[in-house]
Amino acid sequence: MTGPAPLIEVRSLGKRYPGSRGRAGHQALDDVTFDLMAGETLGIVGESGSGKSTLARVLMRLTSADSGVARFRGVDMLRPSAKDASELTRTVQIVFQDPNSSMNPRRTVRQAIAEATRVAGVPAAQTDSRLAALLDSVGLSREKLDSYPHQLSGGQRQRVAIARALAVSPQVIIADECVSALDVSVQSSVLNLLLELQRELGLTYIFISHDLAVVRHMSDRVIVMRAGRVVEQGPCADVLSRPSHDYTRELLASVPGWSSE
Amino acid sequence: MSTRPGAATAETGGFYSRCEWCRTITAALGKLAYSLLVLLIVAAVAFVGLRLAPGDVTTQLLDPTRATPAELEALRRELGLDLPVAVQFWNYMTGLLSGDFGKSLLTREPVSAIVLNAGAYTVALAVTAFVLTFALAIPLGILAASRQGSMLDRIIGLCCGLLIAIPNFVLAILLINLLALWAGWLPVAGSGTWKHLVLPALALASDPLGFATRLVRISYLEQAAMPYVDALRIRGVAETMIRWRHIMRNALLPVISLAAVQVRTLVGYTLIVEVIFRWPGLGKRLVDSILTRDYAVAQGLTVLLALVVVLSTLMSSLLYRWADPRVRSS
Amino acid sequence: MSAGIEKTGPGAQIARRIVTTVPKPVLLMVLTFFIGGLAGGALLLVPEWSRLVFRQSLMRAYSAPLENGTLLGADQLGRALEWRLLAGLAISLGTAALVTAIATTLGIVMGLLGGFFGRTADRIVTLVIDATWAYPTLLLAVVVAGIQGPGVSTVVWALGLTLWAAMARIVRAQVLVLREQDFVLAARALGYGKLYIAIRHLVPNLVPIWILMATLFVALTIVAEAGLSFIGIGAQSPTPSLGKTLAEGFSFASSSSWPLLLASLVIVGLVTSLNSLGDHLRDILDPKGRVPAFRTPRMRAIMQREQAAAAPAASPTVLAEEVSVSIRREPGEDVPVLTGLSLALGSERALGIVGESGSGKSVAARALIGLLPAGLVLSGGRVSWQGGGIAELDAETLRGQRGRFIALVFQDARASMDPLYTIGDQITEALQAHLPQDAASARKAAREILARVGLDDPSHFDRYPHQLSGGQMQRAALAAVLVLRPRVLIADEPTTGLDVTTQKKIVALVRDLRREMGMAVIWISHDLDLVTEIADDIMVMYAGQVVETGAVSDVLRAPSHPYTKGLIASRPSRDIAPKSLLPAIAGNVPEPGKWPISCRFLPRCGNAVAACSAGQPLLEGGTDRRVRCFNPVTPVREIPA
Repeated sequence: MTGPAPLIEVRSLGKRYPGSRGRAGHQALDDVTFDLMAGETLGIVGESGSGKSTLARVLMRLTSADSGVARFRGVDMLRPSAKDASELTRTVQIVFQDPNSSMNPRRTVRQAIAEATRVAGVPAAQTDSRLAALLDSVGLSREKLDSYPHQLSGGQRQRVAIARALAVSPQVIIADECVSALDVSVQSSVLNLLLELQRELGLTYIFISHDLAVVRHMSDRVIVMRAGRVVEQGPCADVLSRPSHDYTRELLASVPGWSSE
Repeated sequence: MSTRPGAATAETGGFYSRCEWCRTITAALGKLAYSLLVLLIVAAVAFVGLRLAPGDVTTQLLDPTRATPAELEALRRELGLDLPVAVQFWNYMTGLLSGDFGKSLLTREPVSAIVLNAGAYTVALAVTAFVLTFALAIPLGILAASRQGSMLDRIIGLCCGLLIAIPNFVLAILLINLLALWAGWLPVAGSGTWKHLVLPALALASDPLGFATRLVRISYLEQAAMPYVDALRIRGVAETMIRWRHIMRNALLPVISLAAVQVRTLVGYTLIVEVIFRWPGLGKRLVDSILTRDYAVAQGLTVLLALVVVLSTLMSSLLYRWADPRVRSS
Repeated sequence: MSAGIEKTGPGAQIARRIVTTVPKPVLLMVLTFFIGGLAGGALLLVPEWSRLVFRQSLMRAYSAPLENGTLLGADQLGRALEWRLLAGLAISLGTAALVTAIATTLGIVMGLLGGFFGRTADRIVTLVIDATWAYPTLLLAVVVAGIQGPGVSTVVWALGLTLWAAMARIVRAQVLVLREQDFVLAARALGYGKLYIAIRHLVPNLVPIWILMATLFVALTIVAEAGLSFIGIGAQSPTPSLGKTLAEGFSFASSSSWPLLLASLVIVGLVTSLNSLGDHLRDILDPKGRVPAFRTPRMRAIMQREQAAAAPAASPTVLAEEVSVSIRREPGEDVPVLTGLSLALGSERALGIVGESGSGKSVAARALIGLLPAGLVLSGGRVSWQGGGIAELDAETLRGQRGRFIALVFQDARASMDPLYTIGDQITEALQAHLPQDAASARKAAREILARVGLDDPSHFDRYPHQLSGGQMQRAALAAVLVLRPRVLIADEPTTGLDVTTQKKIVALVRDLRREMGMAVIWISHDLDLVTEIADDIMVMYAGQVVETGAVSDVLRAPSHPYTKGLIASRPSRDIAPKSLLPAIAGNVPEPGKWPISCRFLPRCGNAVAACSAGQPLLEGGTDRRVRCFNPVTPVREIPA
């Protein structure tokens, strides 16, 4: 039965970090295969060493893959031509985890986001209005444009990081543990922001996190990774309530408070 | 199944990855080979650099105003200076690798003889200064650190600042005036008795002493603020144990690296100190040989001094490796 | 943040800190020398004035200051020293500026090349740096002098050509760190090329290092130039370099010691003030180098306040009464980070302390163990162990009790052990510190406790901290404190940062050990659900205060304080529909030092009444349930104590 074509297709993605000076290498990604459908949120869960962050970097071409393919609507994401590369930059963006290093400490919010609007091709005359609009959409006041990172809180810095990702009007945003470093009381407001943006702009998310409760809340479908391999994938409600793989079961059993629900 | 840093994994690690001794030997050999490469580069650069200057040693041996061009040419041939540069270079490099540093073009002395005679003086001076530096810096630095903020700490800090600020030749002049001319305790210059060694060694050690004391102090204070020190206190370990067994050992690690840097500084400054005190070491010979275009001596001494620096860097990194288990495994 | 945002960037901030922190005398001296240098430069450049520098007069030779119409005397050729020294200053500073410019620029370029542009470039750059480094600077100057002939330009070439290597090494190390920062990755994700990123992102973040190295190089060059001129390789007569004046003064010292003395003074004064400036700049710019306060026993005694109080009869294992802790900068300028902590921990009870950043929970743990971090002082209240106040104990008794009675493990377990000793060694050491015994039995006990915490492979005893994984390291840290069988264990976020599966095992381990050893446990975490698994009682903290206490099931079922309620409600759980908006708590946690006089939760509270803005509520209620709120969500029934 053929449904709509997936937005992103990943087939047998592999990456190995070679050993050096006597240390054995390890397989960061091992035969990873999945689809990303338009408009959905795909959650990726796993513990340390599972490869979920490596996956994000490979998809953003921040590091190379050794084998396999990844395609966005048929366009090669891993080794695109120069023209395709700049297209992909405006289509798939990423928000990182650490609010402390996500912004250059020597540049203002304005400069950070303007760097992104330049890539989007926004002419200089319209930059200011576009910047203001972006800050509005992430719930920050326009006054913050001239602030430096050290003058903002962690939650505010993450909002700026989201605004920067939105600046190129992407279709897909990869959220790599982007609320994990925030205080609990701030996490929920940033998560709400992501949900609202998805509704308004029709974004597709790849939501990476080690926090199962958050992933369950945010995702439509979920992938469980372990040691570079995809252990289980499927609709969120299925995988996280009636897991079929032992590892997923073990993972769920380890989350405090999960079993009591 | 996360990878543990440094531990032999159950995965694909072979014999080599599990044998730490093998890794250490390989690392040492690798560093040795690399150092050799560096020295060869230095030798090559020295060769080229010296020949960039106009003129050659023949003008020192024969008076250019009276000698005929034929005589100059004959001399050049005798000294091997007429060969094509490439050939000279080849002879030179192969000679180096087999340990033959050649003979002085000026005096026909074998360079190795020069090295042994004058070298002994330079070594005596440099080693004395080195020992003096670290024998004083470590206790003083720790003292200053453990009494941080006190008058003693401030005095030591001030002295260090002065030692660094006063150029060692100025200090040398000061010492000569004070201890030799005015007090008459020590001879002014020259060599011969151990008394002649004192002033030059003091002058040479002044700058490194200031730096080293400061480093020891800051390193000690940094370690004292580390979480593991708090943790040790929380576990109730005695304060003296914490200071001597833990803080000091960690604090002295950077000193190992500093020692190599100071060797380099000492080798450089011996030159000035030897000139001021008329200490018959290599420094003066080197300067003279460069000015007189005595290639063999100049090249030989250059490579030798570079060898000393490179060796000290090598030794310091091996020592560091032995002292810090974190480096051993990576 | 108030409406008016300071429009000051990091640059302006640093400039302001420089002006306020560096002592005025140092700044003044540097400025004076700088102006002197400018004056000297003018002297040399303007033809009419340069005559003053070079004019000889046999009549005036060897004059002392104020003789023969000179201000500072004259040298062996009768040239007035005041002009020669000024000119010398100009030459020294000018040379230094030139060399520093060359060396730092070259250093930054090479450092960037090595650190950011690929492994091949890195290997080449490192080789060149090492080859340059193999040769002492001064000797290179001699070689260059041999080639170029002596002179000031020789000095410039020689120094510039070797000093860059030191800069490049440091820049390269910094670049290696910077390039892993997320903002660099984000720029790469936007498709920007390496050159752009190097110039717009990396270089501006290298400015602090640049400033530091520049001050270092300037001082170094001045000394080196003087030295080289002294031995005849640098400036030649009649150039009035400070080193040359010094050399001439030295040779003619028998006739007049003034040139020698004055030239020395200028050099020493210049270099000292520059070094001093460099030291202060380092304190401002390089946080790692900042010297921390070292807590000697003497200082600790000052920090503990004397408390006079009678010990109550039947006492809880650990008692804290109105404990307050502040950051002490200057006396009288304390910034509170914890106020009014009161808790009573019964033996073999488990208390969970829940709070976010800024809640003061970690400081509370340190206060309970009687060992506050450097810079923090106990500004009020009293801590007692088994009825005895700890402030009255002397250092040695306290040390003995600490470890045997009460123990603490941190979040970063690896940082809690000395990296140079094996974990077996350190566990043995902890044991011996309290129960001296022969080495063999101590080691045996250490191995036993290691096995008990799950590190049963005999090789674990001989492992170093960096060789263990996070989970293993936390087990080792537990072993090190539990080998003494303490009555109380405080665990400050011990599983934060560990995998969920590892966390579960550690939690189970602590639960088992608690039962086995009959310990009381205080478990600190930001994770409400986790605390539920371990604790009998819970204490919720916010902005340095305890806001709610009670049995864990009571508090979670029916939270009383609006913050607790908000915290519970904002967690994604099965009760909340997926992908629906979470009931989030708006706003941010107030920082210490910015706490309002009103209730600290007021700006974020949905339950506020008029009383909330007037002052802070007290922690009120019965013995087993208390809340600090004027208008709690669930009223707490008063139970007479």
